[in-house]
Order: sequence, then structure tokens, then C-alpha cells
Amino acid sequence: MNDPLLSIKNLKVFFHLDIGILKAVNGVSLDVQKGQIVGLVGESGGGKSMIGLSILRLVPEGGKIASGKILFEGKNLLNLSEDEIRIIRGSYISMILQDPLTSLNPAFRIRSQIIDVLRLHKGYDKKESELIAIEMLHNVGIPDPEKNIRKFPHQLSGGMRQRVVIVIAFSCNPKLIIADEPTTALDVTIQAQILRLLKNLSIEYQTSVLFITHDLGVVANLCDRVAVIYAGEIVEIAQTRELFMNPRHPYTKALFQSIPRHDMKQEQFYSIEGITGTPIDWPERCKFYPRCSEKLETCKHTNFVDFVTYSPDHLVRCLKY
Amino acid sequence: MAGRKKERFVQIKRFLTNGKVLFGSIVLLLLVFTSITAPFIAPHDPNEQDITATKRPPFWMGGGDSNHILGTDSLGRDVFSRLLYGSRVAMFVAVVGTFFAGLIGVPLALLAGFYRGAVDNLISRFVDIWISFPPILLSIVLMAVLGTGLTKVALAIILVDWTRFCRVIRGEVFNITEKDFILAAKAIALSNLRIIVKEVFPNIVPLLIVLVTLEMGIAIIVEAILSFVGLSVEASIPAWGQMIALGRLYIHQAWWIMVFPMMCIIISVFGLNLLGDGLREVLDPRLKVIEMK
Repeated sequence: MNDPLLSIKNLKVFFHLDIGILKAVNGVSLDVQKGQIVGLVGESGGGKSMIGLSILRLVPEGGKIASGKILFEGKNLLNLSEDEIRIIRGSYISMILQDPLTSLNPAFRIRSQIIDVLRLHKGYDKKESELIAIEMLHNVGIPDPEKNIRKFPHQLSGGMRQRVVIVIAFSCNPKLIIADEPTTALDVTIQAQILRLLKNLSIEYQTSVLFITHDLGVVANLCDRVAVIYAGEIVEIAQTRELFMNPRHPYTKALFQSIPRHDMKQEQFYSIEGITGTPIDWPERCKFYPRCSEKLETCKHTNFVDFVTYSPDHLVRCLKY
Repeated sequence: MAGRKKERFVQIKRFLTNGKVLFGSIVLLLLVFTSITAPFIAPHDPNEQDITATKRPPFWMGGGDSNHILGTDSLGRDVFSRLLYGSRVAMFVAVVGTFFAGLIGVPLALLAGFYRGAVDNLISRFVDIWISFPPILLSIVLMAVLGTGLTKVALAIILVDWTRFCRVIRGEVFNITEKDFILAAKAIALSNLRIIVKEVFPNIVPLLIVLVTLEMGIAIIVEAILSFVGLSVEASIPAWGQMIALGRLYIHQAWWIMVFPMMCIIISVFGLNLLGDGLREVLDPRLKVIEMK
């Protein structure tokens, strides 16, 4: 296989708090190939968003990238100067955020928000940018783009707004898009449309996507490869089909069990015992151990759990294998 | 482009059909009008004394005449003319004081709210210390140091009131910078300056407009208090606070000397506050949505 477009190596993001060190991301390694859609699945607070933000070096205040490398086309993004990383942002890597309600500036019309990006990164003039913007809006299925482009964000529905956000993300033809729960705030039918749109655009533009979500169901049709993350660590990573047919890690299995099915009775809904908790000063053993239904006696005493190659291209971090 | 015209029409209509905005704007326009045209519309020189006609009542009362429609004060000066001239002081202080207070407070608030951390600590602690002086006391001390005069009153008000802009706007900047569109702006590599000016600032404008109208009202009151204690403009310039201070001495014999300037202050401040309140309703984008659907 060729060199991956994006390669995260042993990334650690720590927050130094008064009560201890919060290890939001603790040694994550992940590759994204050109044109590939990689899913990053885990519970809230699992550190998935922090990985996305680290790639663009936008970790919120208080957080520090403690160690690791993020190689993008062979360059380590963590070593770039502030000016160099700004060239990467938007032009090469862009982001789609969770909430379309707040990811557009309420004070400006859609038009100026798309045009600004095109002018800044592609150097088009106003007229050209407007034509491109209208065409792109048309492509993502916004009806009557000439009219809607002059609207303010609050005049559009959630789904429409997310389409606008997608247009902005794709407008500069980036090589990688980080989509942080882009469909979570939308209702189910709109979700499906947006996912299909993302997939089509990614194929059309040959764009890789790092798709961050808590919803395994969303991942199934969209992603080529899936990494399951728990408390800042990847616990299992495999091709989507392999992961769905053959989940190995107890946490992944538990996630599959918690997807409700239409033939279930209410009492049968499964949920994982306990909560993730905040990984402050946790021991370096298996993080899922306290909630695990398949735990072994040895889990308690083993300090470090490394990946096991379950089958080629299917890694699991569990002592059972 | 007919749609755009119609949209603008709808907007103007929304401003005019809001009673608070309408009343407030009329008061404000009236103040602006009298303060500009006072020399032309005042029937008398405000400092012209007529010892033969002191404490004359307003024209509708016995002993009053149409020459002095709101009566005269204890020195025989025309109350109505003095009120008109007094509005100049009030408006000057309101406009200049508020503008410069905002000019100091808003940029500091933007910096504190956007960069947070050490920058915010520095600015906010400084504001905290500044506010811990009682405002009236601070302005009286300032006036005692600066001396009397119109620009000095404005300066005292600026020095007292910039903190209010700083505090209120900083909070709003905090809210706005939490929003995803700021993160999105960073993710498309906008510079910090551009994010502050083009992404954050437009979103505080509605609050700023409201704050400006409230602040103008406060400036008028502060000026009145200062001129009441004789620490505002020179005695030769008529000001509402001065008129009240003088009228207080004759409240039992000639109530009009004190009551009319008081009413001027009350109506001005009330009108400006209503204007601010109404503008908040009109400018709030969330309320806009409901109306359009």
C-alpha cells in the first residue's frame, strides 16, 4: 500500500488540571489512506473530538499535545510553524462540526461566508466565487441556490445549514475532511441524506474523510475502516465489514449490543454498565476493565495492554486474545 | 432584486411598529433637535436676568404670561430657554461620553473575551479594581481634580463608564467564542484579528446598540448629579442639574424651577431606556425567525 495521506503516530493529548492529569488522548495511532473514509467511534468524552482538533492544532486552551506525530503527506503537522499550519487549515484539511446551528456565523448571509473562504484560499474574485458557490450549493441539493444564498443561517433548516457547512468544507478542495459528528444534531431522514452526500462528494473529489461519531449505525454504510476508541485509546481497529461481522473487543461487542433493533422489547434494550468517567490519573491497564463483562483475573494486574493482531488488518487491544 | 427592496421595507416597518422604539426615537430626535437649534428657537437668552420678573409661574397659571411660557427662576431667567440650552450639555455628555467610553471598553472586552487566560485576567482584574470605587464618588473626585468644564465632564463620565462596556461585552464575547463558527473560522485559517473584527464583532453589535442607549441615559444622570453639586460645567452654561439645585431652594414658592428640568431628565432617560429595550427586541435574530414564519 502507498504511504497514507494522514498518519497519526502515538498521539497523546493531556490536560493538566488542578486535580491531576487528564489523558484525553493516550497513545493513538491511526492511518487514513487517500480517498478513504475512516470512522472513529466511541462514547462521549472518549477523546475522539480531541484527535480531530489535534490534527489542525486547535486543541482548546489547557490541553497540550504531549507527544506523538501527525504526518500529513509525510510532513509532521506538529512541527510546523503557526504560518505553515494556517496554510494547511482550510486549504488541505478542513472541518465539519457537529452543530450546524452554531457553526455558521449568524451575523452574515450564506453568500459571504462561502465566498470569503473561496477568496481567501483560492484567490477568486467576488463574481467567480459567487458563481462557484451557487453551483456547489446546487450540487449539494439546496433548491433555488440563487435565492437561498442570500439568506441568513437562521432562515435555513438544520439540514440545509449542514449542507452549507459541507459546501464550505469542500469548497477549497481539501485532501482531508475531519467530520466531527456532522449528523448528530439532525433528524434521521436528513442524517441519511447528509451521509450519502458526504460519501458521494468524497468519491467525486477524491477526498479522505475522518468521520468522528458515537453512532456505529452511521459508520456501517459510510466508512471503509473503523477505529473504536475508549477513554482516549483505540481498542479495536478493522475494515468496516470485518468489524461488523466479527467484533472482538468486549467494548465493541457491547456497543453493537446497545444498538436498538425494531424487534426488541423495551426491557431488552442493552446498555453498558457504568459510565466512562473522566480519565484523570488512571492506571495504564485496560481502561475498560471496570465495566467489562468478560474481564479476566489477569486484567487487573497487567499494566500495559498492547494490540493483538487478531487477523491481518484487524487489531484488538485485549488480553483475551 | 425586488426581493431585497421588500426585505428592507419589512425591516423598516418592524422598527416603526415597535412602540418602544418609536417613542424612544422621538425623544432622542427631539433632544438632538433642541440641542442643535437651541440658539434659534429659544425665546430668550438663557442667562438674561430680569430682576423685575423673578419666579414668574408658567403661562397657564395666574400671574404667568406667554413671554415666559414655563416661567422664570429666582433670578428672572427664562426656564424654557434654559431647558433648551440644558439639553445641549446633556446631549454632548451623552454622545461624547458614551462614544469614547465604548471606544475604550469594547476593544478591551474583545481582547479579554477572545484571548482569555492571562490577557483576560489582566484586563478583568483592572476593571474590577476600577469598579470598586463608587462611581459617583469617583466622578466627583475626578471633577475636583480636573476642574469644571464641558469636556471635563465628558472625560469624567468616560473614565467612570468604560468599565460597564468592558464587562458586559466581555461576557457576550465569551458566549460567542464558545460557538462552533469561531472554531470553524480558525479551521479555515482566518487570522485572529480577522476573527475578532469580522466574526465576533458583528455579533455583539445588537448588544452594543442596546448598551449605548442605556449608557447615554446614565451619562445624562451622572452629568445632572455633577452639576447638582456644582462640579460640572461653568455656572454660565445652563445645565439641568444646576437648575434643579437652584430650584430646590424655592420648591415651596416656585416648584416649576425644579420640576421642569427634572421632567426633562426623566423623559430623556426613560425614552433612551425604552429605545434600548425596543431595539433589543427588534434586533434579536431569534425573535426575527418567529415573525417571518
